[in-house]
Amino acid sequence: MSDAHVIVVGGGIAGITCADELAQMGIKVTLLEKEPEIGGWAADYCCKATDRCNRCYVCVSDKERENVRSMGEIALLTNSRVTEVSKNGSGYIVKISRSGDVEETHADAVIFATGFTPFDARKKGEYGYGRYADVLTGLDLERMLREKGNAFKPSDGKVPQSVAFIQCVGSRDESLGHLYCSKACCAYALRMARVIRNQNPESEIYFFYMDIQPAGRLFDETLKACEDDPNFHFVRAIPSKIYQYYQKPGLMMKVLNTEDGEIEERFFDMVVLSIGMEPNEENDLLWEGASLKPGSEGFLDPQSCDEGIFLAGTVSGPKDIERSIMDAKQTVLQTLRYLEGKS
Amino acid sequence: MSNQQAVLRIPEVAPELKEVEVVPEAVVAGDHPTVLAMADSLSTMGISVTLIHPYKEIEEIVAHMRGLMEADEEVSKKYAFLCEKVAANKSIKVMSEATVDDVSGWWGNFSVGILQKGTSVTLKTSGIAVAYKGNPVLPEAFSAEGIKSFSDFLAQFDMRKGALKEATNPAKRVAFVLDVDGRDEKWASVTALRFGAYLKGFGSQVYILCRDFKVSVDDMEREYRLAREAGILIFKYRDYPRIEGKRIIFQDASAVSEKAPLDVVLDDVDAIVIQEKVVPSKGQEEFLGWLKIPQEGGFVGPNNPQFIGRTPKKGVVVAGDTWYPEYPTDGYVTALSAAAELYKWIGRGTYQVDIQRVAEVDPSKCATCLTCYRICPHDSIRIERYGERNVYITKGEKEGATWEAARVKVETCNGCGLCASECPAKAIQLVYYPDLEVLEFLEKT
Amino acid sequence: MGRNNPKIVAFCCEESGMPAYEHALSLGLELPDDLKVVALPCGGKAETGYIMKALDEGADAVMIFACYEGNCKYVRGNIRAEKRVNYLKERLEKIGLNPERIAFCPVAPASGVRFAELVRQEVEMLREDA
Repeated sequence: MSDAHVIVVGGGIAGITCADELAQMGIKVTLLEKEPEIGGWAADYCCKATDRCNRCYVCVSDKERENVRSMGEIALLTNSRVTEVSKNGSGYIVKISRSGDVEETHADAVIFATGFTPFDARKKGEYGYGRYADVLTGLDLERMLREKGNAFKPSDGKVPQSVAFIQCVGSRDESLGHLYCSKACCAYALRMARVIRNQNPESEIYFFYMDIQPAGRLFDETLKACEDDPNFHFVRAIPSKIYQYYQKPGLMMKVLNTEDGEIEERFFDMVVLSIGMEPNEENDLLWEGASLKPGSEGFLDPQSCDEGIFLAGTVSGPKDIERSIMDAKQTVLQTLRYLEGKS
Repeated sequence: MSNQQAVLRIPEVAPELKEVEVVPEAVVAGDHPTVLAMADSLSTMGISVTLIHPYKEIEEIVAHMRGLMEADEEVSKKYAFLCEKVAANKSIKVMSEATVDDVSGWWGNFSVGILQKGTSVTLKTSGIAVAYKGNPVLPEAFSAEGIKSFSDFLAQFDMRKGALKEATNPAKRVAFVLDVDGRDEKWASVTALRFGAYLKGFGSQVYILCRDFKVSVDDMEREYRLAREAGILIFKYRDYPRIEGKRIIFQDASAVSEKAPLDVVLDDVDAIVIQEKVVPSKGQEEFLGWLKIPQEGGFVGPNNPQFIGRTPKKGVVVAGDTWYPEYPTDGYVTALSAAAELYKWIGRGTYQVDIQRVAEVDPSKCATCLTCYRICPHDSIRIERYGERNVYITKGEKEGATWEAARVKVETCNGCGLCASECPAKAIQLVYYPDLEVLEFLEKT
Repeated sequence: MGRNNPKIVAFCCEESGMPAYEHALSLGLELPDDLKVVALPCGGKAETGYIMKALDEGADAVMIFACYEGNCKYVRGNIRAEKRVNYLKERLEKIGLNPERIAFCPVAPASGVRFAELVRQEVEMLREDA
């Protein structure tokens, strides 16, 4: 088992964890990443602590990334993609294209940790993402909070007074064929809303949702803190449209007023669309050689994999950072078990 | 301002490695079904496993889940064959009707006291994995007659006739009331929906009352839609429902107008099933106490993001309700990742530990005040006897020891320096980063 | 004490404070040159002796950058540090010094902005105090 070679495809949090854990077990690991840097989406996320840690797990991903980068045992190939996986004896031949050059490498096992694609908020045209500067996605807000430490309106750089969060953008939506919950959005949106409230005590948050999905233990604490906050308003309704009046600042929203049951117009400085996860758009490129098959929602089905091929993280379904790490660890165990059986 | 700060970094000292032998053996203990998953996967990785459980037969570990297995194919796929697999696996040593009643020691050298049918046995082992079942507690406001908690309901349910064992006919109307105490847990939504769908097959009318319906589990959104199409009624209540005998009264929160609230009355409900709160069992609290594993409310679970699937105590992992109450399919992943974590620490035979990145005690200064013992987050300081004063402690014990002082276990010390910073006698120093370096830097610049 | 350019000693936890400092540098944020940065394995290692020594050597303020509550790699190191800081603040006040000269600042590894902002606030506070 000790001279086995495992290729991990994808340098997001799941891939990083797999590579780290396998290397610690003394197994030769090659980690492939298509971008110039490893870290995946989580590298753009912000810390969501208020006066204490709110358990968003972003720092864990930051630390793990630095850890893997400095670890000599892992062969790190950035700017690399897998173009073909073919069976060869008891292992696989993996074709890796790296800045134009194609290399062939033998691997005893391949772990796909290719992650998800964030939902493209432009597909929900009624919210005007891309048209109005102050309509952001959750990912945009994450990046803004990470780089600038506070929320600012992109249109004029001012601190927003009223912010709306719209949940389930791209998730739980039959019209898009997305009959699944993305699992992470309620948690990240509530936590970021608390960061905004913490930074700007004057600000007001409206939270438009269907059902709030818990993210682990002590989530109730976060939820209660939001509910007890007088400037935090939960509205169980999904807005239908966002628009702007000609040459007037701010965003208008058509939404149900749950107090009297009428449709009304509301004004907001900034709107955040809590976008969900879609199956990785490059999944279908992987299906053939590795015989990976999509499950019911387009995410890959771990049970369809050939022996020696494993999945880790969000490639097999939406997960938050914590569950991705857990999933990666159990994938490592399965991989080790497979390698043990081979030798 | 040109960002030219004076910086003192932690010195990069060349590691001094010490070879540690760890026998690949583990004790897997507890009454939660995930012990089977951990025992099975550790055993197939070549670790000699001792399974300690309080029941007569292994099958009883999953007995309370039989109903769920029937209702949910995924759960059945993951757990149904585990019993046979573990029972057939000759390399797993099973101790039935046994509980853990004391644990001490360190990674690679734990001693586990076991109480089996009245007799005590002590086992030496390298690693420990535990998964206890929590105790379901019905919120007081709901403990009236005729109301069942989830676990009672599932335990007393007869799968063949679709009814409670004491009843002769399938329950005509069944109501599941969720989210009455906290909203952290999503297992109850999943269980209610899947079980409700199963009951529907017997012609029962199923109501699910909740604050938020939890769909953040694989395939749940799809099943949620199918269930509603099939006629399961799902209500979201505003305040806690009032229960009067066989009648449930509540305000529907999905009614569009708060000013004209919609009162819903469900009459003649044969079975009212309330989601209970899972509280840690006594065994679990004791176990965590023995090993000084930090807990919040009795669960190890994600209290601290730095500890995913592991505990601060090296060589001890937890799953099941000891980690956090989860739906069995999620709990399965937690159990396997815990097993992976344990395998990393006991599967390789020999380990090299760096005895530079640790703290060390100067026994001549130590006043045995136990401060370091109390605050060590990894539980790696003990008071031990030394042969003579001023003997360097990490080089091995002396025979005929007479004199006591604190001693850092280098194998499990992570070199955080908490003990060094709190020691009133200044008897502890970090080997790789002594106080002098910091003080000199502060003086110099 | 040159109060226009106050001297600050920052004890930084290796897990959060140091990465935050480096993140601040990588973002090109301005930090005073009179800032001294001492890396420690854990915020809880910032012992009383270190803090008093820093003040003794002429520091106008001592800042301890540690992890947020509930996020310490060593379980309770940050809480220990915070308690210690609160105790020392009390002592400073008793002997007639400004207790704000010692500050406990929780940061995340990727919050360079917050790091720079906290240092800036501290410098401003000291300037006003002078």
